[in-house]
Amino acid sequence: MTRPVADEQLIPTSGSPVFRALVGAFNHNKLSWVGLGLFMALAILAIGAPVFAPFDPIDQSIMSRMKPPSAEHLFGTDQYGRDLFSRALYGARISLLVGVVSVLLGLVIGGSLGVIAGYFGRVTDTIIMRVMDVMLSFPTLIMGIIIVALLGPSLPNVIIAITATLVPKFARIARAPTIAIKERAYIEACHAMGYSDLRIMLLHIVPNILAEILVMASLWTANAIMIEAGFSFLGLGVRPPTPTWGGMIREGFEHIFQAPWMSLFPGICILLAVMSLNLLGDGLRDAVDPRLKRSKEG
Amino acid sequence: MADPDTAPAPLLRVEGLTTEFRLGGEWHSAIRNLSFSVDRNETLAIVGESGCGKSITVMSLMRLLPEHGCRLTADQVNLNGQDLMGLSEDEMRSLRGNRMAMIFQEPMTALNPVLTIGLQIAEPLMFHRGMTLAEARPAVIELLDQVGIPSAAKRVDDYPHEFSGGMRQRVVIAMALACDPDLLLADEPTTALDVTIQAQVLALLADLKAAKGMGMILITHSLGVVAAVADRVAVMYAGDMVETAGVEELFANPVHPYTEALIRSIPRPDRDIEAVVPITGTVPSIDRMPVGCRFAARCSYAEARCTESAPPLTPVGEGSSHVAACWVRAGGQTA
Amino acid sequence: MSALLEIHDLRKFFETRRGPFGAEISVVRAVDGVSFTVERGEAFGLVGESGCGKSTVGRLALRLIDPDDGSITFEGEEIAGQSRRSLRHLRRRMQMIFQDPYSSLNPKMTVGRILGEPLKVHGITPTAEIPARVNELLAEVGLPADAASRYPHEFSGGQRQRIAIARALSVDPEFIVADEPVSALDVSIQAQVLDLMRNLLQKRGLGFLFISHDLGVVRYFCQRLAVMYLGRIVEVGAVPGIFDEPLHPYTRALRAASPVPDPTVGRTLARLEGEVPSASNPPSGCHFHPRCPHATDLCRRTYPRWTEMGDGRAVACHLHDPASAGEMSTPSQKA
Repeated sequence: MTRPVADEQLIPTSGSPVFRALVGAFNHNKLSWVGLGLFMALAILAIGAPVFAPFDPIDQSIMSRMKPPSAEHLFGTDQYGRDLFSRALYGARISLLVGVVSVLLGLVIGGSLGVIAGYFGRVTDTIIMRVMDVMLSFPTLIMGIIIVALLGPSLPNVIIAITATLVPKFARIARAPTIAIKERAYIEACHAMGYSDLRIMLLHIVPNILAEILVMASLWTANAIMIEAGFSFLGLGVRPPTPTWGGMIREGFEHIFQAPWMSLFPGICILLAVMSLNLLGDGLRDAVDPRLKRSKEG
Repeated sequence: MADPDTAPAPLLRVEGLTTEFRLGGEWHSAIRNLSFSVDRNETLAIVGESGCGKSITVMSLMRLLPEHGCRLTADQVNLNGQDLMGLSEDEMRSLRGNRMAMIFQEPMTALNPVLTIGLQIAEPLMFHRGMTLAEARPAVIELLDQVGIPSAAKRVDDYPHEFSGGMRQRVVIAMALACDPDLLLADEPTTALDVTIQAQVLALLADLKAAKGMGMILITHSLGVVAAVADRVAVMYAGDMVETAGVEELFANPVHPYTEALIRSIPRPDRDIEAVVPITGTVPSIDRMPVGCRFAARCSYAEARCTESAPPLTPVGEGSSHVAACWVRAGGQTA
Repeated sequence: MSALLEIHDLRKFFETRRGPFGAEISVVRAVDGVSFTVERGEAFGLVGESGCGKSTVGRLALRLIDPDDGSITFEGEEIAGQSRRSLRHLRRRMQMIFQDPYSSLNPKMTVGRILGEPLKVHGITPTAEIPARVNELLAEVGLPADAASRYPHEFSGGQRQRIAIARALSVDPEFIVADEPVSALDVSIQAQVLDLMRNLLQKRGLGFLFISHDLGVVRYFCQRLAVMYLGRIVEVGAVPGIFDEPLHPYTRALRAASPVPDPTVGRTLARLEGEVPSASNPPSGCHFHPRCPHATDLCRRTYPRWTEMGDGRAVACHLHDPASAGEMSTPSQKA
């Protein structure tokens, strides 16, 4: 008979290791909460733009041209009399949408390629990673210009352009931990169980590399937002009169001395978005490295 | 044995050593009220399982524990007549590697991969004895020879990765012995080595200890290693020292239930055993230590008083040096 | 009835590239002509030190890696040449228990999922009944039912090893390869897990290939064993005979160097001189001759024949080969 181990003490900490590590890391680095909160606030404002915006963003008003910030127009107005606060809210939709969608697409496509390359190795690895290298060798802006020139300026095309720059980056950071993990005993156990490669990659490898990837995902979302702003600034992005932060800055340049608020506020918006994501990413980074290793020890 | 009244003072005398760590805002003791001694030319083995505090004990002796979140108290920690507890960090530094030296378990990571072994062995000589590298070189080659590295003069400029695991551990031993320490602390020095290499290194340590008249504290989880090299043994469980005795006495007559259970649960290469008897249950975690004897929950001899207060180390027989901390099996007289 | 597992002349080489342009390719002959059989309901031990190839043999037996030569017959079916795909059907019948309990369980899955996955993938249990079956498995290895909702990091090393054993048992295998299953565990926990495995072996009639470097554990658990050195088997025999009267000098050295938890027996560990040689550049003739106290010229020239000694014992050593007796010159003196 197997001896019953009635007095076995199970170590009491419970719950998903990822969640615990996250909360632990966020508590350690309090600014991460700030980042999270700030980003959530921006997201809510962006999603709820139709609700929060006091004015129609493309509504022109000759009477209210170039007005400085006031109670009525929080960010002032531009040369067409449009309310800049409302425009900023709608611009947030573009920026955040582009940022998040590009990163998600890049993560799924690039991450998959990286896992496949790392898991199968050899020829598959070489082919995939060389293609990634070629893609990486294009500076982001050049890539954007080429794609927009070929496909035409529009929101989907901006997303495609930025996704294209992110795919090889995600592939890289997905590949390295995959190579490390596939040698671990629990992956060997999966082979011994006869699991299919797809199952092993999806259910066993991906959950264990997700943390590292999500760190970079949040940091690169900040990048994506900046790149989108850059595209809009250069006129490569979404066409006016749809408001974008980058476009608003560009329009404000012509009047920089008379109406500095036209460029200033969209710039601050970009700053807040990028900063919140960086703080968030730093918090996630802490969650990934030392903590998970510590909680591993029974 | 020498007459206790005129016997020379032990090389190392520790009394009431307690080390506490701060966890979640509260202080918990990792080792509690330890008292033991080591003589010259004697090997004291501290044996116990993971989490019992044996490594923390020697780290406490060396005062190599973090400054924050850690608290060391002792009635006495006396090395060669000198009290270590009152020393400043600078004074401790001049002792480490000099009068007392330590070797660790992992020879792979104990050596700096980018420096030659010659330089690493010379370093304690340079730091403590003020030698230059050139002056230290002959001493280094001599040391390599003593620890059994063949072609020492040629290998002194090699890098760690050019040595096998057993050889690396010998290099580490050479580093530890460079300044002729009085006391050697060895924390699981052979656990990561193959069996045949382990035998070589243990024999080497025994030879060197005898040749230099050092005292040695050997930490191990293996009772086999204890039986092979120890003169005296201290058994630790959950931060307490639960039994101390001469090695033959301990194995012939284990008094503490944990010691007895441990010996009974080990298979042997030299004889057939009908069944190894496992110890049920697990070691309590540091922040949930029970009141009273910490082994009571797993002990087949436990009585009511065992969970009320922790038993002190008491001699097993009249005036015996064999002591055990057990209400049931080691009476109630204090030492 | 055929044996459960028959290995014949198994070989596996690894290439390591050296040189700036991959010029020099050195080959590590990890497994170099290994043959043995494991019967149903038998625990067969594979013993040796690091680099001897025993872990590789274990993985070859399970076809986790592809052999370069030789045959592997599992229950009469030749599996050495089969592709991974065609081997899927075998996965239910042969399983593995790994050494490191900390990396053999997916840290991101609950124990319930880890144990339930094989049941689902192989269609062993209808989905609705999986939780009940998981609880049965947990009970069989002595863990409480609420373990299913917890994650591996909440368990100690010994408990994790039990979970790994439960996982291996979930598919109801006939054959288990256990690669150092207790080496990473505390001494008293080793006894618990060994006990568990022994009970399961008897209850389920499993065949075990038990890989270990610890002779005491192997003596306790196994009925027969093979000793490996540098990719080859040097001796085979039944426990306890092979321990009490080892034939091969390496077996003798291994046995003598293994610490015994008894100071009246193993007081001096016999030292075997020299290092374990490199597997990519093995010595000529008998691999063991540089370290063998009985080496002769013949030993340096020719690898010994495999000699059956009767009673299931066999050894590869010129000293025991009657055909070699005439060819051996007088043993040369070793330093």
